[in-house]
Amino acid sequence: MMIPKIHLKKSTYKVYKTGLPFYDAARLIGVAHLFFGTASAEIVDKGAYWEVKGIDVRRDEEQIEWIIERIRPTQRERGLFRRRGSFAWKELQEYFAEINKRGRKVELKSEYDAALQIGTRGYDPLRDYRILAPRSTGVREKKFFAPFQEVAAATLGRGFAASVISRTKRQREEMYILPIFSSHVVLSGFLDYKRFYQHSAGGFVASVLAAISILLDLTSKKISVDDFAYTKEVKGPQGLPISSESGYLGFEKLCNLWWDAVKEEDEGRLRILRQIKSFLENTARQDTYTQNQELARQLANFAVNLDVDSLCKIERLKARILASQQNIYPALNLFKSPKDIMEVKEMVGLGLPDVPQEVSQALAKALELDEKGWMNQFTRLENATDFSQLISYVEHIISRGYYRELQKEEQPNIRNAMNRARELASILKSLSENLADEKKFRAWKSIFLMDVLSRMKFGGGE
Amino acid sequence: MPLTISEAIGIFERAFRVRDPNEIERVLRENLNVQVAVIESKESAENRINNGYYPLTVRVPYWVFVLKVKEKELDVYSLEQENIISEESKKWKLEKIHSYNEILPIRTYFILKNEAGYYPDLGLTFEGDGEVTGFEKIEESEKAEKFGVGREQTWEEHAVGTLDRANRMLELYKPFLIDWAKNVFSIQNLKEEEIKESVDAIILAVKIAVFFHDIGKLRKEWQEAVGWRAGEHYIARARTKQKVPFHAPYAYPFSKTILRSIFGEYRLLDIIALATAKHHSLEVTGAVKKDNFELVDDKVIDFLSDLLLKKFQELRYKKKEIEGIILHAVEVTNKGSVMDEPPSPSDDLYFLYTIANRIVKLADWENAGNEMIELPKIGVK
Repeated sequence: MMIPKIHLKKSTYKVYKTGLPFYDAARLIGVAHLFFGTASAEIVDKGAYWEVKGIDVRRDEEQIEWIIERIRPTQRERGLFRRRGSFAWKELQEYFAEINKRGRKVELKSEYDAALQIGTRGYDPLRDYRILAPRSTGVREKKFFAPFQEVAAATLGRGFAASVISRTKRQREEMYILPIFSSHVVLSGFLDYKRFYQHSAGGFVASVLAAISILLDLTSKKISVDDFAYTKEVKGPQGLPISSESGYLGFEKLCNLWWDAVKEEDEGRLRILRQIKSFLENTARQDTYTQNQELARQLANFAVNLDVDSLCKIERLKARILASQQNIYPALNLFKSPKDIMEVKEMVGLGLPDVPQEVSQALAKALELDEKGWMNQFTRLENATDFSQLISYVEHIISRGYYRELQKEEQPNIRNAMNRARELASILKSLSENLADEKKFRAWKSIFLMDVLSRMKFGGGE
Repeated sequence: MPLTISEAIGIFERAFRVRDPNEIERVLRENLNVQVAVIESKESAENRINNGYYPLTVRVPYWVFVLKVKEKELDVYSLEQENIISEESKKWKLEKIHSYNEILPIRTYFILKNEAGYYPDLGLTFEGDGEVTGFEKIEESEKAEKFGVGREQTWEEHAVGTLDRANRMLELYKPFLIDWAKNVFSIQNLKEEEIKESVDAIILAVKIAVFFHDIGKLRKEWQEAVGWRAGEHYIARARTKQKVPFHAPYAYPFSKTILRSIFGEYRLLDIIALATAKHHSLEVTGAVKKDNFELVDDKVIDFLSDLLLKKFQELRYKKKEIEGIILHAVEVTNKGSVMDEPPSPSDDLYFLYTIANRIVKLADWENAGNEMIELPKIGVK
């Protein structure tokens, strides 16, 4: 008896980088799907090129054509995959396996990356000055060409791009994004995520919603994503081009945060990302209340920068939306429990001390008792310029709250109320040393106030 | 919304467990459902589950359940695993769901008795107080493996016993594997014999991975935790196992290296190794820390080489060669490994992954409980 042998053939393909992020990402995903779509494609970044390898499996032409149909291809784009009436497997395989690099060249248009457009924003615009303004000079000879196999792979890759749309009265912003994988990943099976996004608060918010959503959809696949590549075109009312751009979205912090949560199976952190996604989804419609739109902007900023300024604005906006008692549900479900707030605190990563629960609980109760004036009290807390001022406000509000509570009894004792409030204030004082720094104090104050909000009961109609 | 392959497999698994073919019929009729267990309280349910009971559930159409949770603002819980301190001490807990958006089809959720209005004859009314759905005892063999109440075994007894169980199951699954390989690799234009030999190689790879599934138990730290003393047989299953360290993840880098050394650089071998490392919990990712694989003593390599050559006579290696392969696997495992991802349900290799995972898991349970679980009436001689 001999050791049985595995006779399965393996193939390796190379995708050379051009430096155009979206075009490169599209070709990489295109090649992986073209040859290994329903199997495992191992992708290794080799510097100048990506190596895509795996066991040869039967590929379904119809599935590939179905993906291409997503981008509503032109006849020319459909034709890239066909040779003499059948699928051009041989030409495509031999090209990327570097067996036969021959292939007719076809035009590469700006759909593949905004940098490829004719004109000033092209990636080598200075060869002939007249080309810089083709509309007025009529000189249009500047075109980019690539072998049809490259363009075919990019066309297939575009079928996986998420479409991010943002509309205003005057313009329509259309962006396509693709994930950039880390240096060594295995793409297993069909790459699937939600692909259509829009948001009332603008293109940036829509792109953050798309990025978070794609990351969460990839959670179970456990494929590490470093960033996203995009290409964008902004058009005027008659469809006239206004501007265009392409590159990386620069969401590395968000991607790292998500990937760490996936690796460590940190359900708490993934829950926060799901809450952010859910808030952005629930405020995507054009008729969204303006404060919710502004909260969406700050939240999107926070998700990609994890910065203190956005955090402070999120807290202020959330408090005002809840106080307004109108359209409160999206905000109410955002960072809704003390456990969530704790997770947000860890995400900010400044080494902030925990919120003392008993203080937060007492403050929430005291504010709830002041049904009409709670927002005034809350605003005073928000405006506290340093920690000692915040402590004295907290002590004052809690003592008044206790007194209100004691008033229900026969003989209210104001001294008791003050003593209990002082005890709680002393708990806060023990944190002073950690919060002397202005940035830390502002961040902690927002966390603390959001924790208080999460313990209060709110109601309001939609 | 169509069922995904993984959900379909889940439904078949459930039908197999409850031994009721109508289970599939019911799912097909009401495509999207959730399982709902009605419990007295969060704490009492956690206690029962951690004591080896499974919750009994009622099936509710997905959209009905979501609507009721939204309307009535019900407290809904899902079952999660606590942060694991050690493998045998892992506990289940009920986590409150924060939004009805988090509810997913085909999952199990828990709601409280005083909100569910459940009566066996009326079902879930979602109106006020009612009864609980109850619990059932988990299967003895599964409990034996999961909760460590099975028989005591040496490492050799358990490895060989589990391998024997896996051999029987692989015989049952072989025709399916051949058919799968013929279909998936049809583009390769392989001869019939080449396909068959490749499947034989894959089956042998699964067997070797099963043999090494508990390699993590040969770590010094693990053996010391269960009271092994020098000169004794290495232990695989002890009655007194409290807070023993992890063992399952080490099967990934170790088996992967062994299999690649024997069969070549094939991704499908990594998938078999990963499926093996997930024999206790699907949460194992294959990641292990650097310098964390110290073997219990210097006789382990000799012991493993002898046993491997004895049990796998097709491995025509000389003793020195197999020792070299095992030593290399130890070195690689000591370098640490990063997480790997199982194939997605739309991957052609997913079938192999589920088969490998099922075989190692059930062979392990069967051997621990000393009973036949997988298709017991087929192939019994």
